[in-house]
Amino acid sequence: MLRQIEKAICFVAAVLLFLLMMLTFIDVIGRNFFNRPLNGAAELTELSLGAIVFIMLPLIAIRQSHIVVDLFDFVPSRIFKAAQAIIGIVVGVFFFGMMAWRLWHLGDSTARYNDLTPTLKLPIAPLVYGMAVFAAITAVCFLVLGLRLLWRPSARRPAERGVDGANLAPGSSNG
Amino acid sequence: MEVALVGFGSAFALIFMRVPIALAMGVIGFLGFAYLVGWRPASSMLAMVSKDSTMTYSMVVIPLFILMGNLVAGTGISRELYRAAQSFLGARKGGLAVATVVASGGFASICGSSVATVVTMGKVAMPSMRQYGYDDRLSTASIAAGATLGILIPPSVLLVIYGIITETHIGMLYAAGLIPGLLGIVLYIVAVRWTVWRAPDIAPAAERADWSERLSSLSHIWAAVLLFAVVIGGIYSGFFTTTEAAGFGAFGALVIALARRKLGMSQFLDILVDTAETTAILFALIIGAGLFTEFLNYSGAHGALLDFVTNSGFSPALVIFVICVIYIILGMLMESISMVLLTVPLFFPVVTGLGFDPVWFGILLVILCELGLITPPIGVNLFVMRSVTPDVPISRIIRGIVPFIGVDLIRVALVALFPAIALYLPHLLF
Repeated sequence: MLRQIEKAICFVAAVLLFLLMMLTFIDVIGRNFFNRPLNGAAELTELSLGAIVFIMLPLIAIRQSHIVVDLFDFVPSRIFKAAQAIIGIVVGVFFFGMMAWRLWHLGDSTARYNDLTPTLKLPIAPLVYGMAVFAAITAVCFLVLGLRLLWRPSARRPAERGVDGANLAPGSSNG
Repeated sequence: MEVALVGFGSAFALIFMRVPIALAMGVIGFLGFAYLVGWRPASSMLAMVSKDSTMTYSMVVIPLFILMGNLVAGTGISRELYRAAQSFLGARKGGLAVATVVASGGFASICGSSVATVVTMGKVAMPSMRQYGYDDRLSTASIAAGATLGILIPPSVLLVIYGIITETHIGMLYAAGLIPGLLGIVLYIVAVRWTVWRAPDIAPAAERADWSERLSSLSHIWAAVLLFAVVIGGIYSGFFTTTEAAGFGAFGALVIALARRKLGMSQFLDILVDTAETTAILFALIIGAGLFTEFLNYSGAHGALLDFVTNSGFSPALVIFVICVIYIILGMLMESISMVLLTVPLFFPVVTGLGFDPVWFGILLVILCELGLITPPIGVNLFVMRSVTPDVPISRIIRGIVPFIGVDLIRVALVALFPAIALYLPHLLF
């Protein structure tokens, strides 16, 4: 069940990213060669970028893909590792919980003022509500993940991967 | 000022307690802002920053350039790039290491990730250098060092992020990165030659390739090189904005991948998902840094720091020197993008307040980040190199990398002392 949800989320993000690329490309060609930019391309790309980031947030929490500094991983103490896990839960749940709550409020006011995108007149509020929902899911993910790490510190992912532009985890690349 | 210090202190404490850097910056930024201004404004700032950092047109460059890199890298170009470099440069003593530096630099510029470069070039170049009897010390070091060049040579994602958070012209940054990036290749070649001169046995000569081999090796890489040239040239000439260039580049990379018949549907899906994941990781950092910056700005820390620096009578050159030293130390401990996002909001106003050029500072900063990728104890490239070649002890890799660190320090000094190295091209073009 969870795996299917994960797959579905990945698929949606992939499609959105593909659309983002096509939109930008068609817009560039239209603007530079035919002097006819795609109407509303900019606002559609903005909306899809927001959507891609927020639907991926729970996933990168669960997969532990966030960038961390593991300078003290050599410390063998279980208490120290437990302390790290608890701090991780507190910070993650608090941060994304607050973010969800405040984004929901922002969604309310966006809906109240009936904010629309400039060209296509799409309502912005549903996206903001969606961001709030995914931020809330992310908070839950940090809780679940933290509890799992408390139970089994060995489930912790080593942080040797740095993200500096592209993300090909060691071993996954076949270039 | 004190509040900002406490803020930095707590952020670092959380970071070293293994809290994701994005969250550490975000939480401290939010709490600090709440402490200074009040709970209510902090709450609405949290929502606004989270929404606006992601829904901004200029930010679209980030996923698109990452996608372009992943598409080009995912279709086997690394092997052909190395073959081309090898057939032109490989014959002399140490020539394979020179070829490795050039191919790694080229691959890293296209794919934009030094980690991915170490992994792929490690698989491609290590077997060849071992076959000719090269010492692992030189082989691993030339891969790890060559891979750092990608974060400076355009299209660099790190420069885009710097450009967005400091509102510096991204085209100018891309123009400014080129010559220092090429200088980096030249200096790494010097490091290879120096290593070989010190210990001639570690890099035996390989056989010479004839011209037909050389030309045939080029036939496989011209499309990617052309795409690269159109994207960068389009930005330099003003034909494309950066966002347009990124959209064109990503689509062009897709066309190349399809034309090479090396891209299946499931692999394409994987590349898209990978790119989306990296994008989310980066934007989490950007949101966190955005909150932290709001807090820093409100605390007036950079104003206080600038006052302190100007009143203390330190010469501006000394300030730059101190900032460089801070970055070298941070670079030993942290990953580059987090380091930039955490510190630039504080240092940038000071540096520009002293009259330095923002484009020049960006380039200097990125070179320092490159250095951070190969300095122990936390040099990402060294560890990734180790994971690619598990039979080489890390101490051996570090011994090999020392001359490369040396020439990187020389490059920092050169760009710091002669800003024209970075600024000549952007002033010519824009």
